[in-house]
Amino acid sequence: MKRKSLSLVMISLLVALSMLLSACSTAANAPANQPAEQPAASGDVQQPTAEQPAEAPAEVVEINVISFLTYDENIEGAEYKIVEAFEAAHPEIKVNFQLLPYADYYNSLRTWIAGGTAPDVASLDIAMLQEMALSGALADMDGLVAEDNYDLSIYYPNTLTMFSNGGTLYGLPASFSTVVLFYNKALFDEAGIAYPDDSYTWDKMLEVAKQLTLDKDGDGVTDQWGLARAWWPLYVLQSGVPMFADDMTKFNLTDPAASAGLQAMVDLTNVQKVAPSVADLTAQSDWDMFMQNRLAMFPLGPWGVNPFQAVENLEWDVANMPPGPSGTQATFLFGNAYGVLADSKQKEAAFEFVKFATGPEGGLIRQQAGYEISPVQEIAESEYLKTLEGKEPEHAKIFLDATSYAQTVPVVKHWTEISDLISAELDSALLGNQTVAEGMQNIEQQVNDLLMQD
Amino acid sequence: MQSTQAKALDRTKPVYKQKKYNRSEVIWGYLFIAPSLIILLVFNFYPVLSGLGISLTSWNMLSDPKFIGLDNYSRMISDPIVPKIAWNTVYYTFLSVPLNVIFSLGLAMALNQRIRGISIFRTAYYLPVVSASVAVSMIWMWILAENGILNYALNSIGISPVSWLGDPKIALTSITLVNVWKNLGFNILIFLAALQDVPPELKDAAKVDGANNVGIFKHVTLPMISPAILFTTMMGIIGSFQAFDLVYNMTFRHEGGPARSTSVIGFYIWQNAFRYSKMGYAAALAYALFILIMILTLLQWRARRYWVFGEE
Repeated sequence: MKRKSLSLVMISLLVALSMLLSACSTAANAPANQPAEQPAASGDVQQPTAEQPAEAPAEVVEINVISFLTYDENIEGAEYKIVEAFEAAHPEIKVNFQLLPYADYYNSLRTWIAGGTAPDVASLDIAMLQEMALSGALADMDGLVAEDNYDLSIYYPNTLTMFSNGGTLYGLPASFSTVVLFYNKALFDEAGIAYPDDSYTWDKMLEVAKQLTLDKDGDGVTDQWGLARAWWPLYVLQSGVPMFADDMTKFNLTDPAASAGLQAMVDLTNVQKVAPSVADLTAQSDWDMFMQNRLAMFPLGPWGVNPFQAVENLEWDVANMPPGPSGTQATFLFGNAYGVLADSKQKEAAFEFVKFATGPEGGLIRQQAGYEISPVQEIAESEYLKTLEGKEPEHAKIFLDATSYAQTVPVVKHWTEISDLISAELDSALLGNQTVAEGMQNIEQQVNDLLMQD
Repeated sequence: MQSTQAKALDRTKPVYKQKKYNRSEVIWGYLFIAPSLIILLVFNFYPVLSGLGISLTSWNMLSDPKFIGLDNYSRMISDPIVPKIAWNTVYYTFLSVPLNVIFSLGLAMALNQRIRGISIFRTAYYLPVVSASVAVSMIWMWILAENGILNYALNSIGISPVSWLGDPKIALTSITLVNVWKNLGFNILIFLAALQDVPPELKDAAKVDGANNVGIFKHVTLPMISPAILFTTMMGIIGSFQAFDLVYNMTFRHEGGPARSTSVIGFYIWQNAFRYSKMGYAAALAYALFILIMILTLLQWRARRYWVFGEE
């Protein structure tokens, strides 16, 4: 009896110990300055381990920085280099840096804020920044700029307005991008058509798209598409009608000119049949289609440059976005910024980091790695084109030229929910179940309610 | 000298109310359940209760929660999307549960034979249950694509291709059937055990009384496994009402399916919480779901005395 109970006790102790050990081994990895394994963004709080450098100056201030820049483009070495360069230039500031994929980034950030462990600096895209600014989660960047006498004229002006809300600046731009027309040179050559140029009108683009939409093996299924549909706000921008009226309190897509613009997008799939439908895209995304030479023209931004350069049998270039059916030329202007969080206890140090990471030093490193376009004018004009010299796309300058007609998508409260409502109606229209005008009328009341909602 | 087995047990009261335990046994008992109990309290009960609190607020995680009373619940009633969601969820549940029970019962009976290699089949049917739902989603999205294998096979026998996941009228049915396929194994296991518990003497007696196979099934097997059927039905309904993983992974761009046709309530809760930053509304939806499932479960539980053997 005694021996049996002793071995039972030993086994239970061993089991308990092994559980304790496994719990200890999954403790936080020190967010080090090399591309380490990043934990999944599940709301785990990473306690920064204080690694003091050998010759530490008297008072080392620590700041926590999170970012998603360069991660998804597989050039994350660039952002880590920026952090290292910053720490070398500012030995009194230690940066605990964490790079996350974009997919769950915002959820993680909000969870950390809700849990009281928010970082000091975070990279933000336009929608995130506007929502956080409205909720008071971001520090007033104007104040920090004024205290420091930082010169904002080094940035392109519309990259600053993207990150302002109610007249106050909340972030400094780290990158920006414009959406232009990518096209597949081989498919154009095959059909004997000249490449897209600035003479393109909407009708010319349609005509070319029709010539490039082919059923190559005669089985009744389209194998090659002429044109991909861009994200729907493009067609509203091209219609010249603002999405929301009366100071962002009234849904404006019921305006006939606006819904005509969106109907033109829907007709690309349903009437002219040059663009893949939602079902086609579920089977293969437009991105994959372009890489497999199954798509002739593709509205896209500079984030496509690196991945497409890596594909072997793909010859492509870019052209200016042709105007919409009403003759107005417009395209998207996107961007990412670094912002300082309102609850940060180290705002000055955080601002130093933001200046470095978005200014000429950080901009140069990021630009040389090929990430989007630097909003610092001198860097964009000198470095961006230099990094692309001799590589596709041949006409990379078009990305910069497009800033003359690129606009930002208006961001309002509850934008995601409103955008989903509009998308659902557009999906119905794409299936042929209703016209766009009917769809917009269906949701008019709901969207107006959301705009008024807290 | 009080031995716990010495006293005769009174059969009208539950056993645990009669035995006299000594103090140290009680303390050890609580100590042993303490770790699990603490984990349950902290990670299960506490979040569920705070969810109730959150449902009475408006909270976007960036600023502090704002108390708004029952506003979220009244918004739920007037939200035009909710009826669509409710219908999708009900359709999903009342299609997948009966199909699941019927097919897994049939398969369990087929697998209840003592032939060589039967364990290979049993394993094969159980594999989808333990497969990651993301992997299952990706494979079925590929099979059900417009130019996928299923359409290709149908095409070769002359049926024109169907947009299984793109057509709002059939997208939800497609996802439901994938869900049925995925969970068959779990119920097969339960039914196999129940079938093997049916006493062969009863079947022999029925045969002697002149019953054929159908009769034996109807009058002996079914009643004997009715507790298992009750269990799988109840668990099936509870699980299906909360379905999320397959729907989330199989919808394009996570917008709720073509024209919201595959949005079930689990998905809508996720959308409100993590895409629209409306934690309060999502919590209210979750509580409404909880109450609905609770009512349905209670109804089934009460109804069991009418058809489950051994529970009259």
